Amino acid sequence: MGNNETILMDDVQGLILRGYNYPNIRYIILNIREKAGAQKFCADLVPREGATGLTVTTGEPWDHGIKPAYCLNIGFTYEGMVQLIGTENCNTVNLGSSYEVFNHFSIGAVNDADNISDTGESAPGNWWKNGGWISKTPPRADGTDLHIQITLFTLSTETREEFYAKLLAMIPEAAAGGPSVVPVYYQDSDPVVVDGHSDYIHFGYRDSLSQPRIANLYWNKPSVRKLLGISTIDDRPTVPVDRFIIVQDPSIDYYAHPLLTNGTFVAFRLLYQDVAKFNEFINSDPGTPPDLLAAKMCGRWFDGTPLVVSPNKEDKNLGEPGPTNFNFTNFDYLAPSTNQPNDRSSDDSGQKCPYASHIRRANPRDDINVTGNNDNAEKHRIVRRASPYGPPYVAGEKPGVQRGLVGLFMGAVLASQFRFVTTTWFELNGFRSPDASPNNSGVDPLFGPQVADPDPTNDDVFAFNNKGTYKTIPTKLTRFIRTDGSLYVFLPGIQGLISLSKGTIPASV
Amino acid sequence: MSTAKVISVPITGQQHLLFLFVPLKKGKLAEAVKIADTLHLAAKEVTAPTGPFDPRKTTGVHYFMIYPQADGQKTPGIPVPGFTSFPGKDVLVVMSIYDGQFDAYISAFFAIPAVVNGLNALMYLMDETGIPGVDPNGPTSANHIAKTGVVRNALAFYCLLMRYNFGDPILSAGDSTPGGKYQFGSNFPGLTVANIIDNYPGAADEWPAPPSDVTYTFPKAKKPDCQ
Repeated sequence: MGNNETILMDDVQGLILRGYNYPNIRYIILNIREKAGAQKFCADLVPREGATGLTVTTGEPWDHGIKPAYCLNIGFTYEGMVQLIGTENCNTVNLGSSYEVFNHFSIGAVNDADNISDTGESAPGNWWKNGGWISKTPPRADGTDLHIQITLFTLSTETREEFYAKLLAMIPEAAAGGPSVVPVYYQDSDPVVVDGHSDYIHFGYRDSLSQPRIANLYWNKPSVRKLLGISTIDDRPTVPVDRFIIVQDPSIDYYAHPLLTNGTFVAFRLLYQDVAKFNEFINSDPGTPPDLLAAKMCGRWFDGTPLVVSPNKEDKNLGEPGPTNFNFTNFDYLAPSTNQPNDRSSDDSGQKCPYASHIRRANPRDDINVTGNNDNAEKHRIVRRASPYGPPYVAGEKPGVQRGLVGLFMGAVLASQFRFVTTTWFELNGFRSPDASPNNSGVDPLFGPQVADPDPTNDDVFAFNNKGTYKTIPTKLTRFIRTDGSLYVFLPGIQGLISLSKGTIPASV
Repeated sequence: MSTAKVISVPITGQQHLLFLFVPLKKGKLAEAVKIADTLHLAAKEVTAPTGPFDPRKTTGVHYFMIYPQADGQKTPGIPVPGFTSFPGKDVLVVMSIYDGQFDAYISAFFAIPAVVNGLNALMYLMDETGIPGVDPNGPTSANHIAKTGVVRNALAFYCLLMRYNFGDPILSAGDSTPGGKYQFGSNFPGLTVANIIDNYPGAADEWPAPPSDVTYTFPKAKKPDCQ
């Protein structure tokens, strides 16, 4: 798989290519009431010289590397696209694209819920009901009232309100009166700070330590990396850009209608995290220190230290994760990566990092014994732009406080990226072969066993290899994460956004 | 009486039945058989990439059978009709027992260019016209897939195969849970090709990679004397 095309950074939404690392974010969902007004709203968001309102942030480098006051990105559900360009055009886009590129998107998150284990408490009937829904009309069970998803990144809570107000002011009046587009839901995200570091999630782990390294981006070009002094210390294999940005290239394993060019697909997820239940579990076995059990479940110690490089304790000598420190991601499971620090022994047996652990399942790296992985997970990597919502957990707090992780999980092909990782690597019993654990490593322990799990008698077991003997935690695993909302969203390229705003599609190739 | 031990067979360790009845354009049986032979040969020539990865752990099947039958013909050698073709079309019957997930098994073949070429050619030989409930030009049709090939239409290709698959990818050999559409037995649940390669003492000699490094001779067993 390969792609050598230069990416048109001004036609790609910037969020796909880089994490903005803004502290205060608002994730907004809007309902289209009137097509013409919605099209004008989209047209006004197109980045251009002299724009007076907010515009979509592209992939172009920021002037002098200085962050703008806000960043904004926009995506559309299938129903949103139908509203803007009509069913016939959507059918044309579908027929002009690989089935796995467009079909699951058109099916939508509600109809796909059973397939990705959004069942039981996580079922669509319960979505959008735990805070954040601002419309007086309750959410439709089928999700067809959710059309546009906008993410607004700001540098303070004050400017978040300011820019949100500006965004709403851009919405045109409908001919029949009232706004043509109405926000129905939003969720704010603010940092969870631990020891002065603002990159933690509510479960207590440091987050976002190993995003895919996308090939052919300006800052990933060998010459630029040399200038930055990072060319030889980042061991992450590059992933072709066509995994994250839809390109037109006959040599790759999908094709797409031109409307989709330079766009990507996203699973927008609202994931409640039950910190009290998680804490109870990691403290449940007197023979296993809670920080060790938490590390075995995640694959990293709370401070982000990978178990593979430091199996017995956190390692502060790894330094602070950052743009030139790759100690937190320079490692492999079977053979050490070039610059892997500390422990360079193989973890083929999962003695250091359990097969079941979250990061090993999300990205099995060089472990070719994992189902569907003989390419460093290249085909299945996901760009993850998610952040915490809700207040930090306080022991003894009243029940019902809503907190978790909200954000976008991106990939050009939903079927082989978000859906594959979720269904096959997180939840499918038999993640790896051979696997001598007592339950074939069950399921991802952070997500836990799902309703109608394929192996209900075993998937509530968490065990880890302790010097050749499996240590089984006596307490049964339950679900620590609940899906409180989900959308499949298309993030268009800028030309795609212009087409949508005109209600048209480009001609098929 | 002691309670029977419960052994969970992971999905990757399960054996499943593939049983395809592929509708072909009338008169194209010979070409289809030629393609099937090519596929078989290509799969046999697969070499293990550097390192311990052996693609046969995914592509390997326990057994397979390919049988072409012309339109309107009865299956020879038995006094009942046997397999039947859709009227006006030939049929290619393909049966195998594979391990694990259906899509993982099929997609593993996409790494073998000769197999991909063969499957692409097969798309042109298929005939889905006039079959009730089938759109011969829909997104999962052979016609549609033929335009850009199976690799770029992987999901559509799985759906195409499933349309003509009597086998049920969730019915595992040895699973005696009632309600399946057929009985599918095995005395050795969980005995996958990967397990055989990894654990059989003589595997490297008897079934080396590439498989074409050895040839086999088969002295014939005898049929029962039914005269």
